[in-house]
Amino acid sequence: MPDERISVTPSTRDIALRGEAIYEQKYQAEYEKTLRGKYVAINVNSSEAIVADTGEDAIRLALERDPDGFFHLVRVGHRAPFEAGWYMSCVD
Amino acid sequence: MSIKSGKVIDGHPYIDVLVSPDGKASVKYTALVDTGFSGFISVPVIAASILGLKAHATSRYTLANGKLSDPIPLAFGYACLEGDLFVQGLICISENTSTIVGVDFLMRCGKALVLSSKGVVMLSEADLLASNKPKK
Repeated sequence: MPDERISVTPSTRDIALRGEAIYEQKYQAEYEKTLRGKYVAINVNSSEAIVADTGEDAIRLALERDPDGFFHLVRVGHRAPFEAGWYMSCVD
Repeated sequence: MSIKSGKVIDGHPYIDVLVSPDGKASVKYTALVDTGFSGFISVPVIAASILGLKAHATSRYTLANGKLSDPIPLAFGYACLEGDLFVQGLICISENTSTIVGVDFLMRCGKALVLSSKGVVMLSEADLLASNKPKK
């Protein structure tokens, strides 16, 4: 994981990759023992993790703490927070 | 009982929804109802731009083949069926060309989906349950 703060206008991919790296290195092992199914918003600048019962709550709480932050949303014990149906899967 | 009718196009259910960045000004979209999509609503990038949705975070979704999607932006926004009150949720901004309504929309809006050979309707879950209560 790079040490420098993420650039002022990061791409969606930059935020996601950095957020996933932070989650895997700092939180995943611990959270998967006790927080399965919870949603986690990772602040990619501070590496802080905000845990909540819904993705909406996790991002809202994260924004309250850092209104200028960039966040990546993950779900503990899941490959992704959302599942796509046939249409989204065909076009993606 | 509040019932909204949609249409079936090429075998897939579509229904009109209002999407808004702030719960006030909105744009109407004919959205595909995808019960395999666990999220609230997914809108194409161009629609998000027109609506003025501000991305707050990124995420991914699991595709039907088990693979992960490319990262997508997420924005807070509002949506509802015409005539209903807006409900807030996380809107996925995707590369898809259609607006898609997911199961989280049905849950947040309290709607039941009825799909038949003749078409599709969404109705109030509360009304549906009340109408099925045994009469004393």
